[in-house]
Amino acid sequence: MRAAVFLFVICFAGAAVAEAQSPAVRARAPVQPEPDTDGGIAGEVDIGVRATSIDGNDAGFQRWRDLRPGPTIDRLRYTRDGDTWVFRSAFDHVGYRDQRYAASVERIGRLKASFEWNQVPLFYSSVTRTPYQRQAGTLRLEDGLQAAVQSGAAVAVYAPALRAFDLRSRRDVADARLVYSVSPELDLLVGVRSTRRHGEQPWGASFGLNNAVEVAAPIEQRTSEVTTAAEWSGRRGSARIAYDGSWFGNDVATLVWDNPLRLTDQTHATANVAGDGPSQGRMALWPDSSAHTVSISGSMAMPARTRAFGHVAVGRWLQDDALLPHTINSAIAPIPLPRSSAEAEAHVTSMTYRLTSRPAPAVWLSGQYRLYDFDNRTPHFAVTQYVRLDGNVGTSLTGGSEAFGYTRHFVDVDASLAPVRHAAFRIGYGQELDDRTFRFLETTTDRVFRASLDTAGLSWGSVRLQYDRSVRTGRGLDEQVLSDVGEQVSLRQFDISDRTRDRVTTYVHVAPVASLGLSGSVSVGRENRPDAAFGLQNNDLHALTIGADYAPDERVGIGLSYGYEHYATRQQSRQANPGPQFNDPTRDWWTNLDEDVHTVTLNVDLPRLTDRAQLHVAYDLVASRAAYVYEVRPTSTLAPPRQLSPVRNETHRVNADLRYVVSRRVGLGVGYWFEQWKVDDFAQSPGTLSTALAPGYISLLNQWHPYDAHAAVLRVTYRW
Amino acid sequence: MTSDRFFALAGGLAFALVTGVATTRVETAPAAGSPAMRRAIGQAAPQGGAEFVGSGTCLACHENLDRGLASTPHGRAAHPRSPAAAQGCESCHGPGSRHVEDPADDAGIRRFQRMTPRASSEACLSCHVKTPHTMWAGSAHDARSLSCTSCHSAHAPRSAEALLVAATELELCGSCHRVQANKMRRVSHMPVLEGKMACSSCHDPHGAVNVRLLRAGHWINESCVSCHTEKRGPFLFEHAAGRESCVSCHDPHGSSNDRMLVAKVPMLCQRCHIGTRHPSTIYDDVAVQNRSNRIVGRGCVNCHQQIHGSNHPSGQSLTR
Repeated sequence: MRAAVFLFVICFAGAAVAEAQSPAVRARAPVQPEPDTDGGIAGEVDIGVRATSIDGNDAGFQRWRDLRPGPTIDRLRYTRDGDTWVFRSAFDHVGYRDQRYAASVERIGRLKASFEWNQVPLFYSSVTRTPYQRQAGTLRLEDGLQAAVQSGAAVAVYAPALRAFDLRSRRDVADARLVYSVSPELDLLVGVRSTRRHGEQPWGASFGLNNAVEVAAPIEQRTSEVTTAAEWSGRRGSARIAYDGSWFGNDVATLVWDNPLRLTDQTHATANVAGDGPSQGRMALWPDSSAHTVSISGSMAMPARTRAFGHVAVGRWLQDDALLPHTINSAIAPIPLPRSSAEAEAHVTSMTYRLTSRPAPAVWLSGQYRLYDFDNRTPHFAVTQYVRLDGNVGTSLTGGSEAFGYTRHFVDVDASLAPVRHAAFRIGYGQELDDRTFRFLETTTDRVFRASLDTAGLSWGSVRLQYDRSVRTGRGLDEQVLSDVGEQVSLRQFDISDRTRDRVTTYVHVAPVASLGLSGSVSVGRENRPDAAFGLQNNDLHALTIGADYAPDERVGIGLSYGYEHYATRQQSRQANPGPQFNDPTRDWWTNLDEDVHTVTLNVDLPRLTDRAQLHVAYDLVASRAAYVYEVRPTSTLAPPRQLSPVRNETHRVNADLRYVVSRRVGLGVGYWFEQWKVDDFAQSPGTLSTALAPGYISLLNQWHPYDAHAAVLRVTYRW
Repeated sequence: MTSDRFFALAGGLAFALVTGVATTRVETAPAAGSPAMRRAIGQAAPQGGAEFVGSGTCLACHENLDRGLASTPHGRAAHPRSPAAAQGCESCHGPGSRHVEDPADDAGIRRFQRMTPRASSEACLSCHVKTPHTMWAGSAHDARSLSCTSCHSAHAPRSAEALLVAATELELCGSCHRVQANKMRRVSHMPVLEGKMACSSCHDPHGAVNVRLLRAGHWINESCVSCHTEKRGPFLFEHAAGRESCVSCHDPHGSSNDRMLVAKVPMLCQRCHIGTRHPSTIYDDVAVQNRSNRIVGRGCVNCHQQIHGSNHPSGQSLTR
């Protein structure tokens, strides 16, 4: 396939070259200023050959790209300009998994049509193993091996069935867009986009606390989107009306997979813990859904350099997939379903009203109100009894589904004063009021005060400084909700809990001489949750960056930057079963996270290394260390924790590109990539995930695996 | 919630009515690209009394400045909204006769680098009157006194598209948003470094009706599910925190953790879940050595894989 596409593009490029060089075409060439310094050049193609060497997990180096060895057309551009039209095309990474093709044609001022085909690969792992065989949405184990384990053998009996495979998925995106200008004032837009996502992804498929299974879940999905809009801009303002539709379809809506511990179905009181109830499990994967939004917006110019903007959007989100039975376990008596399909629906309403004014050159005022309402109208799905992990029947604590919804109101007012031409001081106030259902806090209000100082247009550089303080408070606390689900009533969920946050960010850029730029930034953020006896209590950030850019002349450009980030969080918990333990503070424990990240980037550009050569070299280093440290009281009745080893990540990337101009039309080039990843992760390192068949956890060996990778490409550039 | 929508809509109609009335009192600006607009371009320039001299006069001194323009939309005379279709250089810089008479007089011509940011943007926005530029006024970047020329260069762009002053969006946006740009280099990141996405895939720096200048939708989650459509739902059983905001758990700019999580599991989950069903436990090095499926591999998500929502009748614990 890769070869076929490659040949096709070679033919295309050849035809384009021939067409561009034909006298007839030259005669039709538009009389127009040269488009650039490469006058007369309409196309450019890079043809080459790549060599790749990877020591370790291929997937790390190629997570979002395809750098396999072989012939390459990494880049092809072809452009034709006329007096009244423009055609552009761009091909990238032809024939590889990350290939992209784009073309657009424009009748200037009247019509613009574009199309893009873009493949985005996601390579999870090349060291994965699984004993499952896939048949569409069903993952099967050998019956004989299941029977052996059911009879008492260890899960290690699956070792001969383990097969190695590459775990990957890919998005194929086709996007077509048409903009037609009926008149200079009126544009009509139609866009169609189709995204197919296919492949596999790592997926938890547990049968119980002591029988977790990780499988490669099949993916075969498509999202189709349509956008239509009409936009008019006139003497006093503009108006736009649009419809956006999106349809998601999943061809593998159900996953069925065998239980490694059982060949026959059974049920018992602790089957959801031991994981030895069903012979197979069944779950609902992503359901088909659709979303439709109609929006209108407009802006108006008013006296005193005042502009009003308004936007109203009304949407419907619909999902009505057929519901599966409660379980596939034949040993469990069927539990009737209240209804046969999800009947899930949400009405989404959004409004924005904004007024901005500059009554005097030095004064700027802005006010805005926004509403976002997610009105979940999914009917209650009553569940008194349900099946836990296909193992046994349990009683629901919540009584069924909760149609979670919320309404957010945002108000923002800002005023900016520019007492001198190059500096502006701003103060502002914002308030976000959220109403929600089915959470222990019904209402939260987040009040933000902000102030900033910004300079611009100064010859020596710029300064930007901002401080903001945010205070979030909640009302309608219902601790009973927490109690009903067996939580500590003094738990405060961090995303809605009372919280104060202070943040300062500064950025300074100085250019003491024209050839040198120095910059630095500092960010400090602190979050406190004083009422959170349990849960996240603090969340702090300190970040520093410094950088320098040096370009003494057109032949040299050097950029160097360093960044340091420190994140610190503290959270409190209690290890307690229902009963006396539940209120025993000696069972409290804390997790303190300290994460340090260092980032170094270096760029060296030598666009005129010689008269005919140019060189670009880039180097990145990212080194992070995250320590999760457990803490208990001196009087703790818990066993003293044995601390986890810190998580370390270190990535080095080198990218070098040398180009040599042989003639006006021909160039030679060498590209080189080096990437090294060192990782030590207590949850995902090969040392931890050393076997796919651990008791209680059959995994894919989806490890975080270190690697060293080199890739080099030798290419010829031809321009015509 | 219904009353909220009603009052917001009623308020919006009142807002439209008031602004509509006020608009009738403003001097009408000609429509972009119309003959009236072409005549009017430059007339509001600060250099009162000056007259148009034609691009040829400009290029007699600024001889190379048109070369970068020619292949851009600004230089295409066939486009009725372009400066080239109107007064050429003077469409943006204003009538140049005073500048010709006294080149040293700053007031004689519109020099964008010496204008205040908002005055500079105002000149650009006199033509760029459609989406997304209609949302520039009052946007986060407008509020911080950035101007169009902070990011764009009409004459000397360094990018292949959008006339940016930097070669790539990551380089441009990262010049201020340093921490976010550095996060893109972490082990878990969107494919920005690989060229499959750019900052503008998610953000519209000109303004948006969503928060944080997000391009798609009207709330953070709508932006995320515009690509991750499978997680849109609604589902029979939802993870409330996830429905509220994806960024409670994920850092879309990048992270050192799998799946761009803001912290590792189970610690992340234990920030909200302590006593539910099976109690919150210290999963320490002993648990790692014992290959506990609560911390090894996918951690909590080994079992609660439907963390974004379940459509299974027994999916209330997000395990099916």
